[in-house]
Amino acid sequence: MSSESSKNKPLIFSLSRNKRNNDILVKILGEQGYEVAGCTDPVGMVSDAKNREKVNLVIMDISGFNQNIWKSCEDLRLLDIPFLVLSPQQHRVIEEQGMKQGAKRVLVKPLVIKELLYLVKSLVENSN
Amino acid sequence: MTKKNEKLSSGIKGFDEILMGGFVPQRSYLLRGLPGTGKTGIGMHFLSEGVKQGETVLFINMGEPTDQVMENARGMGFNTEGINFLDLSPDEDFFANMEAYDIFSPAEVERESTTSEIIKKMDELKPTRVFVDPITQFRYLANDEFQFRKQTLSFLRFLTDKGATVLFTSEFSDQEPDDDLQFMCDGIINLEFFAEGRSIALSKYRGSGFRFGEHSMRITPKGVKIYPRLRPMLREKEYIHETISSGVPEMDEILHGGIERGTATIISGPSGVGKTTLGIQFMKEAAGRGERSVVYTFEESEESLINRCESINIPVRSMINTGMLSVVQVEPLRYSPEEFAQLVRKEVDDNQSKIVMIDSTSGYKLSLRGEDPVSHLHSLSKYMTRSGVTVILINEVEEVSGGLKITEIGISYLADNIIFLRYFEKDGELRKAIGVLKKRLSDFEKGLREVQITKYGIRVCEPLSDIYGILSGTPKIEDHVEK
Repeated sequence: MSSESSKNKPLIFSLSRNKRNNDILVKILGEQGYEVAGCTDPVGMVSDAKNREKVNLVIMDISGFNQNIWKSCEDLRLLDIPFLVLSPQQHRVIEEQGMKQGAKRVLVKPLVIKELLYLVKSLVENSN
Repeated sequence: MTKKNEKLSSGIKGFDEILMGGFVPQRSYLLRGLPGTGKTGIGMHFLSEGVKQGETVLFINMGEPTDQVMENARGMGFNTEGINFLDLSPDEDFFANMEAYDIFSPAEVERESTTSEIIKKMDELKPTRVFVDPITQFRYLANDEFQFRKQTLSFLRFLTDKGATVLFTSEFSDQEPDDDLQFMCDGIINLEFFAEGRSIALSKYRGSGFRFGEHSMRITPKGVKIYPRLRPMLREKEYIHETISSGVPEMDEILHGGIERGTATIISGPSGVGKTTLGIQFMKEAAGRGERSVVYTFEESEESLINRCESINIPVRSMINTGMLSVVQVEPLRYSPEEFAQLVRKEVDDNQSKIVMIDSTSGYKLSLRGEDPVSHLHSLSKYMTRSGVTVILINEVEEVSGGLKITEIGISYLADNIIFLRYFEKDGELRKAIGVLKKRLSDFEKGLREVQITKYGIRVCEPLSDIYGILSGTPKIEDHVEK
C-alpha cells in the first residue's frame, strides 16, 4: 500500500475491495500528476494516513465493506483528511450516513472520468 | 500506385464489375452479413490487392487475434505478407486477470487506449487501405447510441481524411441492428448465405453507379469468387448478319436458307424425337466452316451424347479434338444461375464460340433453384445474341403427340425461330415430323416434313402435303378429288 510521497505531488488514497478499481484510479489519477496509493483495508489505510505528512484526499469505495466502514470515515474526519464516498447504488441512507460522517460528496458508481477529475482537482486545491 | 480519382480494385474480378470498376477512393464502405457470410474474406482480397499494387494496408482486427486471422487467411489461399495488423482484440490476459471493475464504465476505460492505438498506427503507416473487422466492437466503447454514432463517424472521417479507403464489417442481429452504421458509410455491401448458396448485393454506393440485384458468390480454397448477374449489352457487337446452314439441304429449304447468326432458336419436341441431334447438326456444319460451338447438357452425359452422335455420322469426337466443339455436362445443382452465365460468357468472350446450345431448358430451370427461369434465360440469351452468337434452346414437351405446346415455361417470346418436332403414326409406325412455327427474320416453309435419324445422319423428306392432322398424332390421308 505504501508509496513514497513526492513533495511536489498531491497524495491521494484509493480505498476499494476491488483491486481493479484501485488500479484504474491509480492509472487515471497518476496521469493527472497525482501520487496515488491503492488500499483494500480501511483500518490499514487510516493507520497509513496517520503516518503521512499530508494526505490530500481519500476516495473510499464502500462496496463490500460492513458497517465498520463508517468508523473509518469518522477517523478520517478527525484527521481532517477530506474524503469522497463511492456507493454502488443511489441510496438515501448511504448518502445521509456518508454526509453525516463528513464526506465531501457521496457519488454513485459508475463515475464519469472527467467529472471525477474536476472534483478531485477542486478538492485537492482546497486541501492545499 | 493508384491515380487520383481512379477507382480501387476490390481484388475480386466479379466484384469490380458490380462496383463498376472498384471502390471510389477515400470513402468508407460497410460490409454487413451474419457470421460466416464471407466478410473477412472480402476484406482480405481488398487488402491483398492493395499489397499487389504496392500500397500500405492495415487490418484493424477487433474480434479475432492476429495469428488466428492470419491462419484463416492462409487457409483461404491468401498471402498475408505485406499486410499490417493492429490487434485490438481481447487477449487471454483479459480473461485470466479478469476482475470486473465498476468504478467507471468500460466504454470510458477502454475507449481511450483503443483510440490512441489507432491514431498512433495511422500516423506511423499512413495506409491507403484499411479494413476494420468488426466495427461493432465500438458499440461497447460508447456510453449510448448517440456517443457510438458520433465516435464511429468521427473515426471513419479520421481514417478517410488521412487518405485511406475503408472497408468495415458489422455483425448485426435482431437485438442489435446496424441501421445507424448504414447511414454513416458511403456504400453498403450485403452478404447473405442461403441453403442454395451465397449472394452479394449493393444497396448503396455514393459517387458511382453499380450493378443492381443479388449476385452469386462462392468461397473457395482460393478465396472469394463473385459471379455478377449477366447484363445484356445495350449495343450489339459487330458481326456479320448472315444465314447459317444446317448442312442438310432439305432442312435449309424449310428454313429458307437456315437460321440467322445472332438469333435464338427454340427446338421443341417430346423426348427422343431428335431435338439435340438437330442442334448438333448445325454445329457439325459450323465446324466445317471453322467455327467453334458449345453444348451445355444438363440431362445427358457427355459420353452418351458423343456416342449417340457418332452413331449417326456426326463426328463429335473429331470436332472436340480439333477444338470446334465443347460438350459441357452440367450438374444442375452445381452452379448458381450467375455462375453458369459466367461460364457461358467466358466461352463466348474468350473462346469465341459461335453457336451455344442449352440442352435442355428443363435442366437449366432445375439449376435455378427456384428462381425465375424466364428472366435468367432472357439475360443469357440476349447477351449471347447481341454478341453475334447463335443460341439454340432445346425444349422438351411432355406430350408425345397432339397439340402444339412449344414451351412450358413461357420463353417462346425469346425465340427468333421456333422449330418443332412431333411424333405421328403412319402405317402402324411411329414417325417424326418437323416444321417451323416462327422465323423472325425471314419466311419459312409452312408445311411439315417427315424427318428420319439414320446412321448416315439426319434425313428430311419431301413435304407431307398428302397428309393432314399430323399434329394430332393420328393423321389422315387427304382424298384427291379428280376434277
